[in-house]
Amino acid sequence: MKFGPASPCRSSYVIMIFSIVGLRLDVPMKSEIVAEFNTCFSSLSAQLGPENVDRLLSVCAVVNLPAHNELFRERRQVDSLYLVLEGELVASIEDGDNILEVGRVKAGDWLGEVAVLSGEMLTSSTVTTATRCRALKMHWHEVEQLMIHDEDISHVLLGQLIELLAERLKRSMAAGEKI
Amino acid sequence: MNTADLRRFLRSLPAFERFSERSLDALAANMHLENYPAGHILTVQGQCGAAMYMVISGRIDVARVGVAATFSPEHGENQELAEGAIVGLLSFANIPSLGTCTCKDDVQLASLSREDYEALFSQAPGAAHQMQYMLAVRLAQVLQTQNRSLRQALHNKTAPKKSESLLKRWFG
Repeated sequence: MKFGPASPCRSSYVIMIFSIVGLRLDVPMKSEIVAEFNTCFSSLSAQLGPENVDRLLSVCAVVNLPAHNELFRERRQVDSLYLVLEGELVASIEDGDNILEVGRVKAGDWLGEVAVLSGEMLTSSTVTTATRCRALKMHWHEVEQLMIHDEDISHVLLGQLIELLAERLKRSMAAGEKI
Repeated sequence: MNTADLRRFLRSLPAFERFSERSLDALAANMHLENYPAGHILTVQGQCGAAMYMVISGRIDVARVGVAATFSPEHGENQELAEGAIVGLLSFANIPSLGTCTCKDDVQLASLSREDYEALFSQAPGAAHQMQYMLAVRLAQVLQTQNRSLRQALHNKTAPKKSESLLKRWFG
């Protein structure tokens, strides 16, 4: 998807297509989203470079989530990755009334990567918004395509995902020791 | 076994089927063949290893204790690894070993040290990229299993309390 200038007629078609598909990035939002992404994901953005940031954002949709809402329910299907731009979410493991918090997710964090990378496509924990949140949503199929066809993007994304997953695993192991 | 044999061996494994010929050449060239006698301890649960090992021949016992024992519920607390199995991949992400691995027989392994793994990024980015993907997938799989075992541990911890309160309610 390109963000170049378009005639008024073409623009309205594009916006119409965006609204049918969902909350896709539209032309006026692009620079704001890029700036927000660069701030929240400064390390990822610096490693990718402006051209690859554009390519990554071209497969993203912006989603707004109200406070105290469940984004993921554990063991339910998920097929997308989320990059959190604003707000805070809580990841927990539940057994009936017993809830064990396994992590807090803030701006600059990813969500959904465990489900998609493990191949299970099932969430490993329940994730609830603690505050109002905004995130970029990427369908896993589109991320996979970027990874297959672009080694530069893939190398950076995988490097970041490995760091994040290792951190989450350490936190989950520490939570296990409290039981 | 020499590097050419190792390359053929790697090619025969599903884990490396997505590797290009060039990536496989680079990986095989960076791996080292090592022989260990039965009883040799390869990794210790809770300690971070320095390399990834692939079993070429022989068998390895993996023993797990604590919450880690439920990491592989299909295998129970002990698991036996044979030809083609990979041990210690998570050490590349500084994750301590999830089990203690002991050679059950005389074992031949191909090892990839952390330094050799990092060298792949400049020598053969394609191979490094594939290894990164394997590592990310393995981390995600372990995290899924870890969270499942936490759920089970949470359930086991609270289940006796629930039955105790029921008994109290019924019998005073």
